[in-house]
Amino acid sequence: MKIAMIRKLNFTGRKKIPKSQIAIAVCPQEGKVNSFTAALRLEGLNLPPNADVYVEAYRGHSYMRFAYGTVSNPIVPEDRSLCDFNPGETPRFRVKVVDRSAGLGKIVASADKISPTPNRNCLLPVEYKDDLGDQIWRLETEDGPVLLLNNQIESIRQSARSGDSFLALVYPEIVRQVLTEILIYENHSDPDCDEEDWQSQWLKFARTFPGIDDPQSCSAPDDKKDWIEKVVNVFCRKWKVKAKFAQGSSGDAD
Amino acid sequence: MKAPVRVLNAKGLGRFQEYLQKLREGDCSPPPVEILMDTETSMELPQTAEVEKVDFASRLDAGRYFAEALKPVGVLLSRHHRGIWSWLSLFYFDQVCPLQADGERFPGRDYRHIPETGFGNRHRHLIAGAYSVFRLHGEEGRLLLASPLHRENKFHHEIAGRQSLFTNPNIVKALDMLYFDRRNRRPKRTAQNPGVPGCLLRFIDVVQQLDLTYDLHSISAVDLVSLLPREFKSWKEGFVVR
Repeated sequence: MKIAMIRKLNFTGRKKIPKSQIAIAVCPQEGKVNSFTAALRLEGLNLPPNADVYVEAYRGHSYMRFAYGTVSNPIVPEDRSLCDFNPGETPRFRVKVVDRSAGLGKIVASADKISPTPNRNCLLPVEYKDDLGDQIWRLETEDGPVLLLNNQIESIRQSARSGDSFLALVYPEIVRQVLTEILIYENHSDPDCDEEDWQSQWLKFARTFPGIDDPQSCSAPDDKKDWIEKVVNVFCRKWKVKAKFAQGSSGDAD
Repeated sequence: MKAPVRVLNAKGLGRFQEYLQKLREGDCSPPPVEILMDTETSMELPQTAEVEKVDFASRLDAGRYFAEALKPVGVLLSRHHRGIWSWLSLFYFDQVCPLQADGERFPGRDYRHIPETGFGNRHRHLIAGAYSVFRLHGEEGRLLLASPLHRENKFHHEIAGRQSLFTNPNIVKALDMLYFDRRNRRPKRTAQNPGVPGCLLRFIDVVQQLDLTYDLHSISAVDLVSLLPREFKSWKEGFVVR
């Protein structure tokens, strides 16, 4: 039985700017507000030369917009400080090309949900937060999964990077939560739908595990839950999670 | 009398959370205001901001007040997000969780008083949410804040939870144009009712579609309203649109 492939439909003729033509980096500055740099290549898209180019940064209730000139006459704004964002918070970015030749600004090309480098191709960026209260970690999935770690805990960076117990206890649950968000809440099951969106990237990642079928074969909610649990099991086996936990525990006992 | 704003620490947050749970179980104890100044449960801020026991007529009033009162500690609000807003919720507890005639209080979910960190419910803290709207939109956020401090109206609930709508001042202005009754100084009746042509939920649906085509951050509120289909006609009355 052929499974219908879910494709994203574009009725407006809006072009997609390949993320390979965009490079955005956040520049952390000790004790100061972060800023960012953006290198945009818009050639090959056949865009109106006088269309305006914008870079937008967003996260939660924070939003900032920067004018980058036009397609034919790009400029880099001098002030690129991300002053409206909380320190330690990494925004996502969006690039828009807007044509005003017919009156109201129409989006003729765009790219969205761009993570700045070095998180660019990272499936699970990590951020350290001061306001997690008594929680050790939390997963955010608003614009793609981000692992939030409690910066008030002294050893958290070391534990997250190389702690066996941390890996064993946290990562399987992260895999479960992310795949549940994708398959069940967002009903997205096509790993090949859009190579640039985080949902497809995670499904592709899961599909690389030995013995894991294409998630599109799951239609009923119970099938999806079973598929997710199968992925979590294989993840645990592949990364020897039980052994790591035992190792981590014996290290703690010493 | 003014009081310096403080931060509830982990112990203070735990006490506050226990109290909220007791209220949900029918307990009628008064709020544990002693933890506001106790150094075991709260700590002072490196900068000083002061608040006083003001009776807020609405969330708009509260947003306006806190936007001014918390200016000295603006940069600390993110670092101590949970502790500060929880402290303020307890300080103003009689307004965020008023005493009912039968002596009970109905606090609702914890996030109305103790902020959650995720985006999902972060905006639902009654005081932080009002502050956030006023800080971003000023008096033009009046539609989202047209409710008593202890109640979140549907405009706020639907808009503040959608990043692309909430952060666009033109969209919030357009909402005000369509749904605020200027004569009676309140939201228009039935605007929040689902199923009514041109209601809030329909506005959200249509604007989210328009957002795919138009650069809504550069379109004025008047132009945005002019793009809305015929079902919004009755809500547009009183404005000159194309």
